[in-house]
Amino acid sequence: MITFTERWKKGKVKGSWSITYEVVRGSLSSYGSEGDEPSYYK
Amino acid sequence: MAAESLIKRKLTATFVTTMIPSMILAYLYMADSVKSEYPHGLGGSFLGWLSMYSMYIGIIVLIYGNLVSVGLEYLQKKWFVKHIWLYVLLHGFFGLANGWLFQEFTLALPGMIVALFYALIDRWLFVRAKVQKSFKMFFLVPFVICGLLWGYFQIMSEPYTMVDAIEDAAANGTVPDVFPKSVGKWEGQIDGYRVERETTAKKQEEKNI
Repeated sequence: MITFTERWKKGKVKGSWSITYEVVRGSLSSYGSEGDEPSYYK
Repeated sequence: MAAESLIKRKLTATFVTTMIPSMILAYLYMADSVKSEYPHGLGGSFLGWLSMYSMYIGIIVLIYGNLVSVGLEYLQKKWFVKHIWLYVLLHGFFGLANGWLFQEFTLALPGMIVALFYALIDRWLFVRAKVQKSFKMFFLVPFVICGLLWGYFQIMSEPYTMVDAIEDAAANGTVPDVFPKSVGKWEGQIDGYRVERETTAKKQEEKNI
């Protein structure tokens, strides 16, 4: 299980976003993600 | 005692004749897996196939093979005690019957080879018994070869590490390329935001299929 988490904060605005993968040799399946993409991605 | 040494000899021959061909078959079966993209847990698979093959071969040799062999030995003593080649050849002939037994012609030839092998081991043991040499080597050698093959397949199977898993997830998933490539944290500023990016990994119970 590999999880990538991103947390951000600017003044009172804060949030987090993460995505988890279940990785087995040779195969990858998304285990789910949660949170919102940060605005600075756009 | 004659009967005791006969039983000891036949059972030792049965063991060798079961183990060696089974190891060859298991090796041949596994040889392709070594070349596969993800050789994984091959040592265990090798032992699995070895036990499967040896179960089949073992039962056939133990019951059918020994019955035939004891009969042939009796006939040899009676009529052709000097002709060891005939004794060996007759084993091969009865080994062919495996093709008929399983109604599968392709099993006739392996049956014959195993039977000839059995007869040769049997004669070798017979000679050794005459000069009071022990049979220990006949048990030791198959085990040593088995251990070496297991080790070979273990070495050939690469372990799947956490780093491999992260690489796979980063390469094939839909994650932006900005996360740490190993377990760890990145901190920085983006557009006035304090940003923290973390990669974590948790090992799960290995699922072996």
